[in-house]
Amino acid sequence: MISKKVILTGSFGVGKTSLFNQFIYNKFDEKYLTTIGVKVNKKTINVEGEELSILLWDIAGEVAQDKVPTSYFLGASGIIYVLDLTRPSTYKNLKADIEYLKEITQGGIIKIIGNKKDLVSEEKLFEIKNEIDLPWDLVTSAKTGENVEQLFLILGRELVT
Amino acid sequence: MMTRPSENIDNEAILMERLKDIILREDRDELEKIKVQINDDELFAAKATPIVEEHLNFLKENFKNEYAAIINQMIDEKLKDSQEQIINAIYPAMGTMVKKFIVNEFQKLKESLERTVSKTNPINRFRSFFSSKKDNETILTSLDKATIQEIYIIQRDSGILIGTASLEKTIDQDVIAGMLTAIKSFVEDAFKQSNQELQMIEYGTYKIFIQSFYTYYVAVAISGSLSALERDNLSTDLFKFAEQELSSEVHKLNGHFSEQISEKLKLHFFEQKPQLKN
Repeated sequence: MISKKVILTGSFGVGKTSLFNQFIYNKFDEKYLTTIGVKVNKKTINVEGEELSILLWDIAGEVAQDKVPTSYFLGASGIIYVLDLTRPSTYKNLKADIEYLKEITQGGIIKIIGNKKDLVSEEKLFEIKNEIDLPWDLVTSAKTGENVEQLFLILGRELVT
Repeated sequence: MMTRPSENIDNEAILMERLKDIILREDRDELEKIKVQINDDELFAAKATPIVEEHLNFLKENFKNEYAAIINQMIDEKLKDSQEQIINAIYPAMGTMVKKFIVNEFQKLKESLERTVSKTNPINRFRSFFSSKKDNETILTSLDKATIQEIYIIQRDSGILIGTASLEKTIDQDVIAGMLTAIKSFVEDAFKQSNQELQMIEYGTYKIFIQSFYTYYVAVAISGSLSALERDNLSTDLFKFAEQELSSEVHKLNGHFSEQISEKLKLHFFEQKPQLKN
């Protein structure tokens, strides 16, 4: 079995831990508890007949260099950058953050995710899509579980090929 | 002219009131001033504060003499009434403290014995080695032997587990490897000491000894007291194991867990050497 390190990153309150919990435990909690430091867990998924163990690191808070130890990102094969579709402040640094992540992960696969889809209308979604600097790869809802499993399957497929 | 009796009474009352006004004027004025002082917070505080402070100072200086007996009696009664509750609250903490204290003392004792033994005559050490009776020092050092409980080989940056062996199965070892890497990364990043690495994590009577290599690190969970000499021996042993068993293998793994390396760890650290060398 092959193992890969995957990082969940993005501004505070975008739903990283909720995505983590939805993916690992299939559950969603309405309460918001800020993550302290980092939380690591794993889930094994089947990608085209091959077992892939995803070691998921849920990193607290920001992407900014001065707030999170750079070494957390080292050795990551995949990065999930999460933005909150209801808060423009969470994607205002998108381009710079992605540049920084590309620089420190050197070749890691980066996925941009718009989370909290359950809270925005289709029209609003279209509006945000035209607003942001880089296109997202997928929109998810950690609350309803929409596209969460799909996200890890897409990422997993790219990680094993 | 004659006055009616009722008029006389009215006049007397008025006169009495006037008389009261004359006699009590100063007292009434004083009373008004006191009322103002009591009802005005600032004025009242200005008057009362020095008195309260004086009493507080008196209490501070004489508390023991004045109240010690009463408080002692209250504490005695409370202790008698809630003995079980108090013991329940302090027992776990006391137990851990005592255990940790004993382990620390053993560690100090072992290190002091190692220093003493290394200074003594080699002939005595030779005699002791072949003697059927263990001397006191040998007995003492064997009392709280450091024992390897678990050993992990972990990819340095990613925290992916390459191989592991343990005396007992614990929680998910991949998660342990990931969290250990996160802790190690955090400490090394936070203190930004160039070329320095986290070498030991202690929790209660357990220790996690960390030996870093270029692309991976080895974490060894140990119970018991670990002396400086034992730590040194363990480090040497890990270098030897890495040189013989890992150097040619690790770079081929690329994120794969190796059963082969885990078997080698089990054989080397648990089946051949159940306890650390003294």
